[in-house]
Amino acid sequence: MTELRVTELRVECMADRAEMPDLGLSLRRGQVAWVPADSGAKSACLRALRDIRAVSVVSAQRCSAMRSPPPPSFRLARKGTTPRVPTSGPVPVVVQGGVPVEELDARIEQAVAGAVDKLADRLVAALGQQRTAPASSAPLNEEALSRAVADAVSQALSQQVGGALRSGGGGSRALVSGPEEPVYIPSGIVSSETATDLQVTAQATDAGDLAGAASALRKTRTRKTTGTPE
Amino acid sequence: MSTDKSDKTKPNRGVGLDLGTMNIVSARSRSGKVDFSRIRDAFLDLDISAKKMLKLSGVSYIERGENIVVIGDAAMEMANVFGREARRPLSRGLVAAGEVEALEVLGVMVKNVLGAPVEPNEVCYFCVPAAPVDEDRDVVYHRGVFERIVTECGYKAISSNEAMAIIYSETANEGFSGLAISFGSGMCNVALAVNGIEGFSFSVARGGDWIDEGAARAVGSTRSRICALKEKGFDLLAPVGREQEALALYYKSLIEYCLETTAREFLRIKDKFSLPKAVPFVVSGGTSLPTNFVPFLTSVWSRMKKKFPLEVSEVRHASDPMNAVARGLLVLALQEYDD
Repeated sequence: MTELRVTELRVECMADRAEMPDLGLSLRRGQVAWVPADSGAKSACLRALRDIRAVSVVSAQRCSAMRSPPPPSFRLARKGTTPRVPTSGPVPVVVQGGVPVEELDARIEQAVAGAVDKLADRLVAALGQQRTAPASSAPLNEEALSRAVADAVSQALSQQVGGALRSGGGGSRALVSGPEEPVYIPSGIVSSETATDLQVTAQATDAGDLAGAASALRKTRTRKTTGTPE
Repeated sequence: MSTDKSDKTKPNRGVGLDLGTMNIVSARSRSGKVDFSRIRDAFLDLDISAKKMLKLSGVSYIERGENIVVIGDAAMEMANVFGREARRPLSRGLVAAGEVEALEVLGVMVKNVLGAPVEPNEVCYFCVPAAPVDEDRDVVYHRGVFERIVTECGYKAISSNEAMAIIYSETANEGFSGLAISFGSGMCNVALAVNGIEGFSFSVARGGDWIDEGAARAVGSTRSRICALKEKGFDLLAPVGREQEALALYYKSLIEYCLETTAREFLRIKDKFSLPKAVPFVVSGGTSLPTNFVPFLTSVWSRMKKKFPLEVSEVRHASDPMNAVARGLLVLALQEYDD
């Protein structure tokens, strides 16, 4: 049998709705989407939704003849037997900057735990409000609840995972991503420890009307922003 | 060239940083002068056994595990000594994604060229090329990397278009109106501005390296040999020998390509953008250094003048072609401060 190369993730929505803004996906119950494996591995929303069983994620290679995923018992070692060591398993994914996905998983799990705690607090608060003002508050139906869960987890991850990564490991490389940075750029590029006494060619020239040019440019820009007529 | 290390007066706030494929240049103003610091954008990794030799020759290097890395002009010189090709952290004007080693080298180079900020979060304008019109590449990663590096050096990093920097440097007398082309090593950047407002900007993925490669192929030589010949200086209007003639031919082709693309890009926006009067056409960059570059460009341009949709008042060279971009970025940085 040929080895199945994992290139994509098959994501099936098991809840009424599943929002994954970092993948640009919005699925309803039963809908299936295919996501590149590397994007899926990086997606905090996908991981969070999978953990709360809102989506089912299967690693697979898409082809005309679909292969169903192996049953769970196939992967589990029987009692009293030595678990089989895969001879050609997938290589552990290490993202740029040297933080392995496993470590990210642990961090995300921690962040999800925090998010769930926060969510519990919110639910308690919401229930409290329902008790005090039942006529004015909307009923807490399943769809609204799942949307609230998705939002809360997504928000919590964007804040807490980002914060955790930024504050992680003194001196070590941490991954930082922002809304305008679709790719990971490692931090700590400029090291204070590296001896940096390089030969730099220095040249001094007459400034000319540099200050005048700066002043004129400032005026031009001010005119543009304030809309003052010329 | 003079080294102005004796001037201990405090520099003005604001710094410009030109990040080119061939050179990284910073510009600072200080008591009526502009201080430029330059480093060659190249590095060479050598085995640790070369350490002793480098120490004896006084070449500065950084250690990375079992290797040592020589950076800047020294890298080019050492590459010749060891018969190797120096590595470039930028490829055709942009940082290659995934080149983590190159990022570290760039970090060291930028830190050395910038020096310490005058105050925390001092404004530093750095240049970013426009996205090339002839290649499917963008500048998002490039901008992000340098934003990170400059910020980690202690500055407030602000990016600006490379060709627009030439407009800010060279066309103050025309109210920051003009057409600028930066003939760089990795790419050529073009911008059109009226009263400081950008009409269009783009880049083409051809530059000095493209000329070297083409000329080397044409005469059966090597790229580094052609590059050395070009940098030694030659007259574009009177080339001598096969190699110089090949260089002149590729220069003509590059200029035609840039002008044709400029015309095409202008036609795309001409309905949305009106030019009240003829604008100066300023050329700059290391690839524009050969003797008689401007007359050569004018002769190429005059042949396609009738088809050229832009009204040009004059064609001129930047006052300091190697430093014009850094100077323009310095103008931008200085206007952030009122002093």
